[in-house]
Amino acid sequence: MKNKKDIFDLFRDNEHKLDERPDGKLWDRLEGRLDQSLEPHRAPSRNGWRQWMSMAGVMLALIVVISLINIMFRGENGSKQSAENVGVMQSLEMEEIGIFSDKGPNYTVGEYQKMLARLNTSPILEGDASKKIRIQESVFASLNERSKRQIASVDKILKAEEKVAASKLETKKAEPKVIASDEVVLAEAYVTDFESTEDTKSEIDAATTDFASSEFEDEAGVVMMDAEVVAEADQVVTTSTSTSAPVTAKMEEANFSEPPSDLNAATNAISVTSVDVAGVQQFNWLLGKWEASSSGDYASNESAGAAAKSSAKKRKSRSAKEAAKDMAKNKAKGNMTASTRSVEEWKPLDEFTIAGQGYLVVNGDTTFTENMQIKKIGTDLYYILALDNSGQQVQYKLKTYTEEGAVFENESVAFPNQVILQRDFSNSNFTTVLQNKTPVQINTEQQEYLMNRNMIRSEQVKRVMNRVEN
Amino acid sequence: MTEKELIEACKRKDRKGQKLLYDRYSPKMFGVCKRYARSREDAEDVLLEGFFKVFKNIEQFKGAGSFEGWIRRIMVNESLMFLRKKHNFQLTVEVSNIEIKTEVNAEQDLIAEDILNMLDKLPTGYRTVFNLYVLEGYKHREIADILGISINTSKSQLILAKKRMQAMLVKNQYPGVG
Repeated sequence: MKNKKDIFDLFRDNEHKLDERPDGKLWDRLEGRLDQSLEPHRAPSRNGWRQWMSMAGVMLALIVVISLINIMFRGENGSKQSAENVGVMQSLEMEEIGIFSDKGPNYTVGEYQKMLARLNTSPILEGDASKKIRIQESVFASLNERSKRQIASVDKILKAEEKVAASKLETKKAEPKVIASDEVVLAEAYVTDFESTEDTKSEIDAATTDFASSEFEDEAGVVMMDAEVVAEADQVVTTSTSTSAPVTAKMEEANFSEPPSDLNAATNAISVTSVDVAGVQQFNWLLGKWEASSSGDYASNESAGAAAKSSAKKRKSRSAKEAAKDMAKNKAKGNMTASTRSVEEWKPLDEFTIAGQGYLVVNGDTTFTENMQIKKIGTDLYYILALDNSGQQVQYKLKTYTEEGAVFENESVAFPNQVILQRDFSNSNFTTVLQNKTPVQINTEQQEYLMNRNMIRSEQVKRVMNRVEN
Repeated sequence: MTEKELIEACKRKDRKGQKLLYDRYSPKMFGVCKRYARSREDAEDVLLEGFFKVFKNIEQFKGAGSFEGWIRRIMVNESLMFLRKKHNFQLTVEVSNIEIKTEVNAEQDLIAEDILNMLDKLPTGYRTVFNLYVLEGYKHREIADILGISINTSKSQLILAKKRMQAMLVKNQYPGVG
């Protein structure tokens, strides 16, 4: 047997024979590609500062020239105007009075001032400042889908900002109806905390803080503050329902179903660590339609499915008919043929949320649907999903974000306490992994639910989705 | 120029350094790409994309492991991404675990043309698992993760690949195939 070797070794030993210098033109193509990639943002070279300095010098010279021209132009106009309106200009400082002319319309002094200012300084003379500039329909139609989506999302953001500003005004006007005397100090502390946040963050961020606090509101109108505030106050603060009313309305607009209070408590218990979070826009790479054919999944899910089915059999309360139905359903879930499609679509819901819907299509019928969200709550981002058939949604807070993906965590959940999104360089596929930091066995109920669209391993749940549409 | 100097030159986006690195590693990496892609043109496209990523991400190479291994991993990833666009690995079939004894004479050699021909005749799933397991040295668990298939599917694809290759060796009258 010594003179025999495995067929695989035969290939290993001879692999090097495939080495071959590629066509010479390939380097030219690669070089072209490298040049192209460098053009928009050329990497700083050793003498980069010289280039920057020279560019800054040119810019400075341009500014000086433009300013000089402007001053000269103003000087000419100013001398003409001052000759004509010297009497009027003197009276401007006194009060706004009507200017009457035989030839033109009548102006107040203020209007006249504004008109002069506009003529001298406004580069856009053919439109009133209050008019909105919109992209022409014909131009919009010629854009690609991505640009259209970007314009639409900008539009949404502007509208949402207006709403946020309006609701903030209302919120500030509203006074708390009842605050117990002992709690006044705490309530004030909360307001101070909130206002200091407003000072340091943008309008949107402040509104998001509003939004976040609204999500921890229970049915009785009790607002549970986020973990840091609770830690300081060490007790629950009550406030009136009227204060949060606009916020609640906004929550309804965003079509966000409120998580149950025990979940809120669990989420609040998570320690707050700083992650550089800009917004859900970081996850725009998820937007679009993804698909994975799942026949391979079933092979690995079979054992999990069998366990789930046997557990279903143990539930004695079920009738034979129900059991038969369940079996048929399990079969539909499990026996994935080439006609089984697992699809996932992600769309922006508002400027704080992108929403995903996953569904399973078996022989043209949708047999399973689930909803996910990535949502900015306060200053943090959360991945929200259901983990079993109860529909109860669980929030996972973003802990790590890189170009290759993100890790969301919720330590209070038995399984999984991590949701990981992994993407590839070309954005042609991404993987969702549900797992625990320390591996554990997945319980039967969760297996039954998660096996719909995922591959079940003993300690990990996973699905790979390939891009279908942008 | 040493490997370290080459890497530093590439980190500075020095075009000469990039060309030297390309000249040094492209023959071997072209061999890798040819094993995954069916046509020479496809292999060239994968190689180009792979080297583009090597130059783009070379800052990420911290010198901890083998540089050639790092480039090779990028090429394999690129090849797999290319295959994923055309082939759904999750549709591959799982078969029962059959042990197939395939041995050849120890002094037996294959010529490059035969290697490529045999790989070319394997279905994509077989070929990919074969490449990853036999020539890249991945474990079945890792292959399952990479391709999004089960461990058993990976194992059965390899067995089927081995069986098919043995049949081809017999057909081509390679001596000592057992």
